[in-house]
Amino acid sequence: MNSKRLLALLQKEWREAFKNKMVVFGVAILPVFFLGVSIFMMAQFGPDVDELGQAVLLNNALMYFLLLPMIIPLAIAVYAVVGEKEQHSLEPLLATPLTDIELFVGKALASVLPALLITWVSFGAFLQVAVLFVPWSLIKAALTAPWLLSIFALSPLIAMFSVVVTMAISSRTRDTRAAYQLSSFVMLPFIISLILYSITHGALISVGFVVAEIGGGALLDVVVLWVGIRLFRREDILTHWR
Amino acid sequence: MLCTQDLTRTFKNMTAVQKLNLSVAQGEVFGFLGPNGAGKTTTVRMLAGLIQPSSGSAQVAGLSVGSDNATLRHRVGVLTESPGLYDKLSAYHNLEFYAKLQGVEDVSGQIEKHLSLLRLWDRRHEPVGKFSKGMRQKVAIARALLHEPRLLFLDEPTSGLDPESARTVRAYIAELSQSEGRTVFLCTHNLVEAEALCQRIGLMKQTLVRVGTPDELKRELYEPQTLIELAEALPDAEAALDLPFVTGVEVQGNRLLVSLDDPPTQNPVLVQRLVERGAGVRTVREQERSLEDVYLNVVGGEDG
Repeated sequence: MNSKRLLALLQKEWREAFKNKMVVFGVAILPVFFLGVSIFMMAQFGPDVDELGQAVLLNNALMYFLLLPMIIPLAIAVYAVVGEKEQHSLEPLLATPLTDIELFVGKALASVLPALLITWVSFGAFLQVAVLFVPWSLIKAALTAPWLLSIFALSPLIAMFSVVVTMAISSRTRDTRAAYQLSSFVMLPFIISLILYSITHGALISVGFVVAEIGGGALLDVVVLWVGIRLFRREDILTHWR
Repeated sequence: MLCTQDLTRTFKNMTAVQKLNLSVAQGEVFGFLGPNGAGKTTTVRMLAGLIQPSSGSAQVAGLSVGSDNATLRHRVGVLTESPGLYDKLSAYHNLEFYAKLQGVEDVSGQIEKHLSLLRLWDRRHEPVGKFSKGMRQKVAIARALLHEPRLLFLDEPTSGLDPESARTVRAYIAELSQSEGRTVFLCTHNLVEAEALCQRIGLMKQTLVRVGTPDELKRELYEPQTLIELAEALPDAEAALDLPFVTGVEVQGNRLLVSLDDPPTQNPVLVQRLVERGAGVRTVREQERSLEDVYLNVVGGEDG
C-alpha cells in the first residue's frame, strides 16, 4: 500500500466532504446535541439519586458517545461513494495507479478518522464541561475502565462497521439521500439495541462485558471488511456500480 | 507503443471485444471509430489497465497488460468520456490530487505548465463546478497529461464542446503528437475530427473491421470517380465515353459521374473525348469521398 497515494486520497476526501453543507451539518449537529444531553444526564446526579439511578444515568451518557462513531461516518461515507458516482469521477480515479485496496482503505479511513476524532474530542469536552455542573467525585465515576475501553477501543470498531456497511449500500445506490436513508435504516437495529441496553441495564457496565463487545465487534468488522474489499474491485466498480 | 493479439473481453454471455489485433506506432495519432456498443470503451479500459482481458494479450507502453496494471496506469494517460472532476474543488486541487496519485515530483510546476498551456492558470483557484463544459474538458485533458505519459487515450475529447473550444482542444492534440512525439489513441464519433487529426483509423465493431489511413480506407472501399458538368446534356453520353479505362458512367441530366482507375491522368482524355463529341465542358472534378462514407459503408448506420 502506497502511503503517499493514501494520504492524497484522504486529503481529497476531506477537502471535498467538508465543502459539502450536508456533510458538515451531519457531522457537526449530533456531537453538539449529544454533548448537551450527556451533560444534562450528569447534572441529574445528586444526593437523592441512588446507585442504580447513577448507573442508568452513566449508561445513558455512555450510550451517546457510542452512538457518535456509528452515526457520524454515515454522512461522510455516503458522500465518499455516491458523490464519486454523481460526478462520474470513478473512472478517472481508477485510471491512476491507485490500487483497489488503497481506494477502499482511503475511502473508509476518510470517514472513520473524523468520526473517531469527533467522538474523542466530544468525550473530552464532556468531561471538561461536566466539571462545571457535577462534583469531580461523580465525574471520576465516568472514568472507569469500561467507559474508557468503550470510548477508545469499541468506538473504532463501531465506526468501521458503520462505514463499511454504508459504503456497501452506497455502492449500489445512485442517490445520496437514498443511500443515507438506507444506511441509517440498516444501522437502526444496532442503534436500538444500544439504547435498549442502556435503558434496561441495571448496573454499571463491566469490563468483561465491554471486552466481549469488542470481540464481537472485531468479528463483525472482519466480515464486513471482507465484503467491502470484494465490492471495491476495479472491474465491479466499472461494470456493476450504477 | 501498443500492440494487441487476439484481445478479447466477454461479460457473462456478451462479447464486447473479440480477437482484436491492432498495433499503434510511437508518435502516431490513431483514430478508433465505431458505433455505440462497438467495444471501444472496453478496449480502452483493457489497454489502460483498468480491466483484464478475458483472453488474448496486449503490450502497451512496454508492459504486458495484466502483468503490472498499476505501473501501466502510470505510463499512460486517460481522458474519459465524462471529465469526472470534483465540482467543489478548485481546478488546482483537482489536478494536485491526481498529480500526487501519479507520483509527480514537481506538482505545482506541472499544474502550472498544463493549465497555462490550456489558458486556465488564472482561474486555477475557482471550483470547477463553476466552469463551462469546455473549461472542464481542458482541466480533464491537463489531468491526463500531468505525469507526462507517452501514450494518451482520449475518449471523445471534443464531445459537447462549442466550436471554438473544440478547435483549441484539437490543436492541442495535434501539438501533443507533432511537437512532443506522444502517441494518441483517439476514440471519437466526430469523423471530420478523426480525418483531420489521425494518421491511421481503425473501424471497430466488436473486432477491428478495417484499419488504414483515411485515404487507404477510401481507396479500398470506393473506386475513383470524376464528376463532369456539361453546358448541356449530351445524348448517348455512355457511348461517348466508351473508353478502355472507364468502368462506369452515371448520367444525371448534364452531370456525368464517371468511374475510372486514375483520374489525374485519365481526366484529360475524358474531356478531349467529350469536346470531340461536341459537348461543352463546364467543370471537371474528382468525386471526394468522406470518411463518413467509409464509416457508414463499413459499420453501417446503426447506433447501439
